[in-house]
Amino acid sequence: MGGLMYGFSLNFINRTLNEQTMNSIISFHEKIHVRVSAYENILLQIQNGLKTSESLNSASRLETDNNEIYEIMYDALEGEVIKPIVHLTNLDGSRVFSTSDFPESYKAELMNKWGVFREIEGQTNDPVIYLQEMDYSREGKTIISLGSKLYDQAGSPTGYILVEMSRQVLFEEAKVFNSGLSNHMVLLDENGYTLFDSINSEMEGKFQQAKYLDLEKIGNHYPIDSLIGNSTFLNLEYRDKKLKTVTRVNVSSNIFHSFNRILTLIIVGGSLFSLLVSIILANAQARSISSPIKELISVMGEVEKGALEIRANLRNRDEIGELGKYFNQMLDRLNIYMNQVIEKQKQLRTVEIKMLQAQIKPHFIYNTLDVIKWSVKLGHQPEAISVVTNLARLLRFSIDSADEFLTIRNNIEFINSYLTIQRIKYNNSFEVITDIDEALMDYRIPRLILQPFIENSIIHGFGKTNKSDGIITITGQFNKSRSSDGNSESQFIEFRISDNGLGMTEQEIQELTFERPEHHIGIYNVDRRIKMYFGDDFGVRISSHSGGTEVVITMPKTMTGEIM
Amino acid sequence: MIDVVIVEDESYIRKGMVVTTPWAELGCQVIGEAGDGLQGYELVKKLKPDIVITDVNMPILDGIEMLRKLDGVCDTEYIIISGYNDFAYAQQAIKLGVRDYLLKPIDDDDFYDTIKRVILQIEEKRNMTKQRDQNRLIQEGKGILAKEAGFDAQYDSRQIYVVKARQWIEAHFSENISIKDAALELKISESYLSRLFKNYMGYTFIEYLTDYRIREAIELLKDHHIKIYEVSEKVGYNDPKYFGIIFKKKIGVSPITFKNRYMSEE
Repeated sequence: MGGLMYGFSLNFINRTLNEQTMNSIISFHEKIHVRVSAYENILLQIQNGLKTSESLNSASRLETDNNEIYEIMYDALEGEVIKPIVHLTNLDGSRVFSTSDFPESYKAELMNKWGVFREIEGQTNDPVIYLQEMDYSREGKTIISLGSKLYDQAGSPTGYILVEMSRQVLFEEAKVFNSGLSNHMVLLDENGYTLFDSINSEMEGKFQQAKYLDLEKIGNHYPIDSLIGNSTFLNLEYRDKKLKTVTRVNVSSNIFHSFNRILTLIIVGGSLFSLLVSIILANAQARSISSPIKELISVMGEVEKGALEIRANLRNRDEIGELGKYFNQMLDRLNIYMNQVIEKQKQLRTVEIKMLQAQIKPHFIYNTLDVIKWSVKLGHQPEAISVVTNLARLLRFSIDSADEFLTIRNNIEFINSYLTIQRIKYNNSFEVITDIDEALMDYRIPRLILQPFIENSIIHGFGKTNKSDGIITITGQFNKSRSSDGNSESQFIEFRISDNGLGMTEQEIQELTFERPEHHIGIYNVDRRIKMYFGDDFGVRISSHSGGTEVVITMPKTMTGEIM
Repeated sequence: MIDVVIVEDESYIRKGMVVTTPWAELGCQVIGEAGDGLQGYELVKKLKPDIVITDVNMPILDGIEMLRKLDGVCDTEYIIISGYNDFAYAQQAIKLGVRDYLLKPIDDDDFYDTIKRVILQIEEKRNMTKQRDQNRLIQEGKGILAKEAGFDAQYDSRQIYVVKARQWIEAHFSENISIKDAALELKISESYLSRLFKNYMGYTFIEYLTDYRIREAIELLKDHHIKIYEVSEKVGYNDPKYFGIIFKKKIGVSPITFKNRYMSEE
């Protein structure tokens, strides 16, 4: 009876609290949105103010010009109580205007167009909202960055602008949660990193570890196990589409505590009573129940302290055994999930680093220079001139543009230059047939996707046999794929590179594609890079027989590097 | 004379090295060339040259692998040429007894200096073995024999024929000669000489003769005032047309083009 009463009142309180808290969350988000819109206006105001100003890119170091820019910046910030941090930079970061220090990490990101700058490049007109934690010695942390590209009056890009929201803003707005109940509110990004934590600011920038905010326990329920520790009774989650964030709130209240005590009394009393009965009835059985419970409780305590690899060791074939089993499974899943997230992050980083290695091999450059030297000594001036011209094109292609994505037209120009050099080096011992559908030319693909395979055809396919009638065929066209439900068709881009060379054994193909070969890092990386950008539906397939090798490379149609 | 073998997969670089390096001035001759590491291995094993100049990055067998296979096969000095300025590579190479490591693109002066340095080391080595051999012979009471042996102890009797044939080519290349004349001179049969040549050299008799003539022709063509038919005659071709065809086949351009384009180093 008491249990039933308890249940009803709990339910009522629960509902009321639920509504209240949800309102607080929504109001918190509305306030943040208001700030974001205000910052977007600041951004626009500065953008417009700069259009007439020349000095962002002119090499002028005149104090007056610089002052003019700072004036535009501070004018725009006038309405803000808690001032956001604003950075202006030209395209390469050589001229920077900042209301604080310009972080070192941005310089690297600018060079390589990573991070926030990649996001900006991928967006056409609206400012980008980018979640990242930036630490400034004077102003403290910023959590949310808004970014946009800057243009001059003629409409050509001149640089970037970033407006960064201080943690202080979130802290102030989060005060809506102080309703007398003890709340724990966290703001996470899509990957589960903590952006803001109302109780434990140490957690910011890390994975959220507060157990009672766990996804598994979202919703209105009142758990009775000790994993939760100090009685969690309400967990709410709110996903914000605009900011791409997840807000979680945990409410534990004194009202609950009192109820909880009653409940505990009833349960413990009941348990004690039944325990007494069981002791009387079956002493032995009692032992077999209590010791596993103790075991389970101690394990749970360990887990709460953060020992995630520990497991309950219960051999009972009853409910407690089941409980232990589920508990273990839950821990397993948690571990797998955590490892997956960590692994994914690691992979992303290595690919970013490897991207830097997607460039012409220095060896090729030195070798080509040597060929130029000897061909001049042998009196082959026309060949030497052609090699010099094309080598310059290749170098320009790699040095002048830091963009990872280039049009297929540019990629084909690059390939043609590369082939011209190689055909001279190898005394025209092979022919090349290129057939690329004109409709493909303006789509973009990552750089150096095709070249490693062409190099492999020349060096492996023909070089090892001193073949003198090699033919490389390069084709590019659209292909169609059916969606899984078979109702719609979608087009993708498909390149085929085939040769009539030596061919490769299954083992060689395996080595090239899966095992990080030292000399063919280019080939190994192509598939990985494509999958990283576009997912597992795309990539490289190599098939080979004694009459040559065929490589099929598939990529989605994209103008920007994002899947459309 | 110091025997040199060149292993390099890029034909321009290989040809350039073989043809435009003043080997004779350096006291060397190229006795063979190979286009990949495996051919290189076979050739070096057969010819046992004094110096091998090899590229590192080659198909089938790279330079370092080739050296590993040749380790202990013969007493040869190696010079490595590479586009890599790679410390790990260089270290491996030094472990395998490589004398020098040149970076592409090769600077001619560095290249010649390196060859000269290696030659000095070879001669020192030869003197030591000669001394040792003579001491041994004197101890065995055969000192007189040793002094009368006109050649270095490094050659066996059959090799002497090849050496003599080469010396004869170098003395008579400007005349209209053939392998027959050389065989007559050496008092052995034509087929035996050609077989010997094949066994001890990377080139046939006629290839060696042609290469030698073309090299000489290139030196002559550097003089702007010389006429093509004069060059042709000076290197033993009576017919300038035929000389032109042979030259173009070897170098890729005709003698007249070569002469016009050659920017003399002055």
